[in-house]
Amino acid sequence: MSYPQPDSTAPVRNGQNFFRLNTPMVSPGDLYVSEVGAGAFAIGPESDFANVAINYYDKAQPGFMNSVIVSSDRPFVGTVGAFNDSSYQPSNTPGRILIHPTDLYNPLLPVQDIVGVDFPIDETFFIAPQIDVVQYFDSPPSVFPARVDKTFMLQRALQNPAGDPNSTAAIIVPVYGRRTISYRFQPITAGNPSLFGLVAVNFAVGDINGYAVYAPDGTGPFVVPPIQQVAPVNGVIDTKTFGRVDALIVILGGNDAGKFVCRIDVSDQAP
Amino acid sequence: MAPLTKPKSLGAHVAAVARLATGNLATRPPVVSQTPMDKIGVPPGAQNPFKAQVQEPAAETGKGALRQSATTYFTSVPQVGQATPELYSADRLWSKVTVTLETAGPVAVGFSSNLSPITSGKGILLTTDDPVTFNVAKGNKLYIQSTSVNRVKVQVESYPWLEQITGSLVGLLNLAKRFWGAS
Repeated sequence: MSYPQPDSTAPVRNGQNFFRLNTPMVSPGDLYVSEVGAGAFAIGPESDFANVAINYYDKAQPGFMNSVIVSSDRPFVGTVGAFNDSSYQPSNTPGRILIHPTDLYNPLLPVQDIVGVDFPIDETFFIAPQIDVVQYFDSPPSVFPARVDKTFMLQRALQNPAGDPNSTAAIIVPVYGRRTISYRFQPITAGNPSLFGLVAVNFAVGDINGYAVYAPDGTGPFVVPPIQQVAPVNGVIDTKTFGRVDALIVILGGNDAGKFVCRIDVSDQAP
Repeated sequence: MAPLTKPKSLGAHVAAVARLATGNLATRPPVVSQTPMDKIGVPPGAQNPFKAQVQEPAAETGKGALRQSATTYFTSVPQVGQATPELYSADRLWSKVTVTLETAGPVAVGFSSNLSPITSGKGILLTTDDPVTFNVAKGNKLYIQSTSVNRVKVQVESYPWLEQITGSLVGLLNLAKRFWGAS
């Protein structure tokens, strides 16, 4: 959660008709508040999360809290008031609007356990998922924003010590709810291979590791087994058959001589 | 025009007042004296200094009655013990106040000095982008209450012609009383 939290009252004073919560997530428990009422909620264009919960004050509910989930496919239209002078029970916290993603997020993902001991990972990098929610103050628009297509370019992810061709890095890329996930890996130094592998994961609750692995044929965790590649590797993850995934583990490795380009494209449009 | 004489019947009296109202402006005697009102002390022309009286409406429009304003009011979260904010205090005989909520609310507006809780029905809950107009008489105050930060457009306009009509009617009534009381 970014500090300080985005100020929801500033857009009201600035004459805007919406408040946009656009910030990277840091921990799974990040919770954002809005102190102003809304006429509609929608997922913003830069959001990595596909599903966000809007909790608001409702005296008819236990604890005086009601909740609605907005997704990239479905905004919420309806007047929601921020009752700052009332309190949720039994916590006695002010009755503001509370916003948090419902998609699971695990920044402590045990990548090595997933890929197995045969593929040692030297470093792990997380691309922090972005939460983007648009809160409209007045009449909702006739057209709501859609999530933009995103491209993740990964080059020279690990500058390993000279002469060690076996160093690897794992980069976790958020792709929550995307219908189309395509990847392309291309060595660009002739004669020098580079390591490339790909795993698609869904985060789960309850398991000590907190993940579930998508396997294209059910035999192992890899969409692309991590091996030294001398030729380009292209592909599309079949979300239509196997369902949507939460994140990709991109395994990369190379040396000073082996340069590569790795590109991940994600979109909400069906392939 | 014939000089004023004491009428012999009620109907003749009413006709005499009507002729006075529609008479020639050049020959008609003034109906109401235009004396500025002191801010303190007994108003000029008061009959009984021990009885509270208000200035009679003016038959001519003063500058104060023509004042207009257009402002944006930002509501705030009420604090414990804080009085209900006052949106407008009527400073003229008649005024037209239009409030329009630009955000989602909830915002309540009313003439009660205590509008809490906001959903209690003590005030009018504003709807976004839906203007609400009040005709506020002098001595009344318009209050506003909200549970969050909101943007409210406030337009205050005057009814100068209304005061002028009221002033003329009061003048006629005074004249009628003068003749009726002298009979």
